[in-house]
Amino acid sequence: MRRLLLTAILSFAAATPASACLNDATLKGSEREFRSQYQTTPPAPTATPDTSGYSREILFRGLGGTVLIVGAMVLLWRRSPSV
Amino acid sequence: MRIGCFRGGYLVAALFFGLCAGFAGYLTTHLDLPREYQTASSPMPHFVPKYDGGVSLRYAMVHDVIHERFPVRGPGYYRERDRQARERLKTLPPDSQEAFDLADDLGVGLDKLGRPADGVPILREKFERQQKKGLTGRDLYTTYANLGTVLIHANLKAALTGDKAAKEQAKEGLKFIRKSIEVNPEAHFGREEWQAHIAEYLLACTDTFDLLTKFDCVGDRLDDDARWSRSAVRMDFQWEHNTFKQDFSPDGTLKNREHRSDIRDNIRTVGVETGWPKSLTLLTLQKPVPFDEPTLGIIGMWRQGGGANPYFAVTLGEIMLRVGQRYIAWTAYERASSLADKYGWKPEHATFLLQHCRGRQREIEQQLPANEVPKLRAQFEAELAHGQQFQHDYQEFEAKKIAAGADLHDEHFFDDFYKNREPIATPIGESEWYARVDREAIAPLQDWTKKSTALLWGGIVGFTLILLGRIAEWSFIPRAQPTKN
Repeated sequence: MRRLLLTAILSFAAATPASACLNDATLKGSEREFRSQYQTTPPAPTATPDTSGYSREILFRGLGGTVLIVGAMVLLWRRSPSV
Repeated sequence: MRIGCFRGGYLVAALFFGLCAGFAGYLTTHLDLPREYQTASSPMPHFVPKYDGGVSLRYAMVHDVIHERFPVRGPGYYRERDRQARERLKTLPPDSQEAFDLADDLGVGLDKLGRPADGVPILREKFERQQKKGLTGRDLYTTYANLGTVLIHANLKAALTGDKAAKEQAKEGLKFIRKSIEVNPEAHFGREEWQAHIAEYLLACTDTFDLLTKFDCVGDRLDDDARWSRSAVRMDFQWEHNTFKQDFSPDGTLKNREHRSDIRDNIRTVGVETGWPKSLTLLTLQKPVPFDEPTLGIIGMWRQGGGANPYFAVTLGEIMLRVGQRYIAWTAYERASSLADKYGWKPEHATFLLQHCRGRQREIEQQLPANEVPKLRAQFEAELAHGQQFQHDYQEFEAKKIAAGADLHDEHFFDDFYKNREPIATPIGESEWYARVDREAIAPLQDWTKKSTALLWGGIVGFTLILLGRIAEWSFIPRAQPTKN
């Protein structure tokens, strides 16, 4: 049990989670290097293929509408039964 | 009479279809529909640092700390610097600025060598000399920060196992850190502030044990599983259409400083979620914060402080998850899992962390393309090995140069090391930017969508009307009976 407790304490002792604010001679150089490593340049504008589905949507709706209108016209002008 | 009614209906229908046909004709004259659009990139709101001249976050920074892709000084450097500093101090007036700086180097070096308690008297003595000299405010910043840190490092472990004296010492360290923030709030991208919050969290864990299994160290809930779809921008619509775009230079830096806080209001916030024990006086973190603040704080602590630990790794995972960076979050959980035996002070804590990380990873994997999931672990391990190999090579090079008598303060100390080497930092990619299609670019499409929808509904209504008319006609108009001869 004691060994288990000791192991647990030692393993926790290896972690120093609140470490941070150390100011020494290396700090300025490290921070300068850090900043320079992550210089950002904007990506060039890119032509993105239409993945939004707009074109397909428009096509289907337009086709659907046209088919319905044509169908309606066929019905309308089909010879009525003689009275 | 009935026949006349139907004929009138047909007339209306015919007119209606005429209109529809005209509309369809109109559509056919505009078949220059664009098939692709220019995707423009906007700076993300977190490109604007909290303070003027501060560092702004990039996701690549998070990726790099998780995979150890940054240089770390070796123990040989600190030992040699310690030796040289002690020699130099013998020749300096004790209240000179150089002597104060060397005291900082000594204290920090001892901390880096795993002996923070030995650094405490050196820094306390420096503090006394500075006070005797009448120094105040910002002149005491490094003393406050270093003394606070070594006090916390020297005592936190014992405090967590119930040592009351150690807990008081750690609290004293916390007070020094708070003073360092007071006199220099903009220092080192907010590291001190986050160091203080994390130390508060750990000290609070000694009183409220379930904190470790309910929250990460900035107050993100560890049992909340509905946070995947969020992005780094709090209100996408507002960010896309607001007027702040004019406030940026092409490289994403802020031109109009007056809008700093307005722009930063668009950053997704994290931390202090439901149930965070705000009533604990020790915890000064009382409200959610823009996600880049704790992230930069942790990155700074990881790189400049004690390196990897499970608290930082799991917190980065939770934050990245909350801003939609699932791949980075997955790697953060993987790193936290590998450090799980250092989480808390009971085996149950380590077990909890391991289970939590695996659970989070499973949930992320369900959202990723199936062919990518099996590669994740191998990629992570390869990249971590790459970072660790870099650090090993860096320290080996450093040790050889020190042994050869090179000047520790030479700015070009590592020039030969970097020769013919790819930069260790991950290049900034497109994913750092907010990709969008301008409203103007998609306006023709939206116009077409409306027209085609109108056509569809016109067709539906017209067809239905005619069909109903025909059905009525067939049902009610008596048909001529064939005559029998």
